[in-house]
Amino acid sequence: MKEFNGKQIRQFVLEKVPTVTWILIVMMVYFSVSNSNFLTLDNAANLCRQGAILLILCLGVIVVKITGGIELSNGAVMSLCGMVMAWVMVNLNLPPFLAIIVSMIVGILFGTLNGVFVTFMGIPSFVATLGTQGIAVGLALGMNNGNVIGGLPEGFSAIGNGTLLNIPIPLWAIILVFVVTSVLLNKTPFGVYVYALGGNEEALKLSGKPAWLYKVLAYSYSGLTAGIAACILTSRNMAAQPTVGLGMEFEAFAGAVLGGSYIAGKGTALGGALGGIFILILRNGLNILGIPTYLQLAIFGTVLITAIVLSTLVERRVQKMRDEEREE
Amino acid sequence: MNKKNNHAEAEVTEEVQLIHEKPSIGKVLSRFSRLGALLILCIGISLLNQNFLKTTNLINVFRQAAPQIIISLGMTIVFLTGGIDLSLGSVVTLTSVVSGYVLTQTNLPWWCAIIAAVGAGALSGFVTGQLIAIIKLPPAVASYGMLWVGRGLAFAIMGASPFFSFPDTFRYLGRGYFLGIPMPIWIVAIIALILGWFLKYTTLGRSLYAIGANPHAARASGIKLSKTLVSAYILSGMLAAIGGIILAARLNAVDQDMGASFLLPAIASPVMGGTSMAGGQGGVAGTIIGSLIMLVVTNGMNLLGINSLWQQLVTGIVVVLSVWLDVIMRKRN
Repeated sequence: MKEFNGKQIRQFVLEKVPTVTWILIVMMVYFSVSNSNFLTLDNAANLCRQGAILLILCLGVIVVKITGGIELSNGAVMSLCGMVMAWVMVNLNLPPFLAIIVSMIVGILFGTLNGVFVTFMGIPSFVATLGTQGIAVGLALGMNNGNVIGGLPEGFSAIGNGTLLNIPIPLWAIILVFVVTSVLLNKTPFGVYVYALGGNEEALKLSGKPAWLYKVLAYSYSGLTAGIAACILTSRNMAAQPTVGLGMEFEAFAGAVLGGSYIAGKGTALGGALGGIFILILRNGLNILGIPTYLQLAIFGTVLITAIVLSTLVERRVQKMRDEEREE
Repeated sequence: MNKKNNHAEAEVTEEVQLIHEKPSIGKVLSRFSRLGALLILCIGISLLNQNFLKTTNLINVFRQAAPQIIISLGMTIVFLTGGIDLSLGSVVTLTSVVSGYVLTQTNLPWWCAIIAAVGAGALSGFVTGQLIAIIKLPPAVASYGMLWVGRGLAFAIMGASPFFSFPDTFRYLGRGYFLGIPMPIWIVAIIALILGWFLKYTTLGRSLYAIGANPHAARASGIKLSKTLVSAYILSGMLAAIGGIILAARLNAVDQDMGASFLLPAIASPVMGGTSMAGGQGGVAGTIIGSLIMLVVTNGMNLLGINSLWQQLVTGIVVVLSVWLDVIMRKRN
């Protein structure tokens, strides 16, 4: 009886809850003990506004990651989306809501480009998305000679800074993308195929289903999230800068990996969001502890790769336990 | 059991020999086709702009090519094992910052800076290799993580102020001439010769091909997989370090982003030179030709007056197309 209980607890701790949750709790306790400013409502609201971009990107990346791909282009694609949307608002006088649609379309286009590179051209996903990154950075820099586009219409700032029903609009965006991602992954054929792609792509192909279509769609979805994130980012800054998103792809990648391991066919929307929150809190905590910026990146990288290694080891242990159970 | 091992070993050596000593007509042709592509490209650009074929421009192209070629050679070694090292760009940054630190913040002689930089590159490669060989992370994930660790360390070492104005003896490596030929070109030539010999005639060099071509057969024949893998990443880290040193010596300053732009060309150059990303195929000569193609394209764009802001766009497209070509060639074989 006692052993059964132990097993149940172990299963709950290691399997039911994404591993990152436990690291998250430890980190939050550490930061709130070492600085009283951490666990305040102000800081939480601040985190929400800052974090919307990263969380939305993470939710896109996790879909690609479940299919077994790596997405490294979304930071650059986000910058490009911002540039294009600012350009159409300033030069074509498009109203903000049309500009938002333009940004999403650019995002989807580049996501689809990734998908085409990976499925039809057989290029490994990290090379394909690095290539797209180069293409997007080149376009974002070249389209306005490397300059920032400013002077956006006044009303546009509402997206990043306004509130709806007393809740910041970026938070609404997170909730919306989170719900859409969960529904897509859990309730639609798209989700079924995405998990199947990661689990056993060959089997899916042999079953005669259009595996390529769902793979392309997964990358398109990630592109769409980059387009949405670009709206919030551009609106918060009230300007579009061609290289603003560079480096973001690493945070999104790390969040997605932490939220559901790098192993293909695994991960959930919740995991992706938790991974994103982990990175936000780590960054915020380092700021609050007053660690100089030039040291932060080194700590950040080291913590992340340690966390990836740890979650990988836990994942492997869980797998072993499962195999043993099956043998019993 | 022993017989089985011997059999597997025979198989592997046969395979390795196939790669090294019996290039089929197709392979010879494809090698010359790359050289031909380079020549056609050069002729095309020189027709459009007469400055291209001037000795000063060509020497300039070669001198600029040096770090790129050396880093691409590092990537070639990793490609041979079937892996990829996305951290090479940031290793270039890290090692040049390390050498800058030793040169300007300490009183050590200039050769200590070189040793420190190469050591840092080797250490970074060692960690990446361990993550891949022992923890069994996919190479892309492990090296991408190390990209940011290396970048972060470079930031941390540099602090707030960049390092600049290095001693003349150190700058000689990037700007000096020996027998009328720039030092970077000598360094590339020496490294290419050593590496070519190493890959062809040493046990470790041949093991690199073997584990890329068929890891199971390689293991059966007694090659220690993890040891060989780790040494491949150490070697590529050291080569990236040498690239970083030449770059720092030429620019006479280091900054936080100097290595980042080397990653994409370092992936494209070996692939264009016939090194397969799947492993087990390729070599030094092809990579040098591949790097030169990349450099002639960028130099040509400069000479034709195309804004350098568009360069990343071209590099991105070239990377995707060259890898696509590799995929097609592999399918045909």
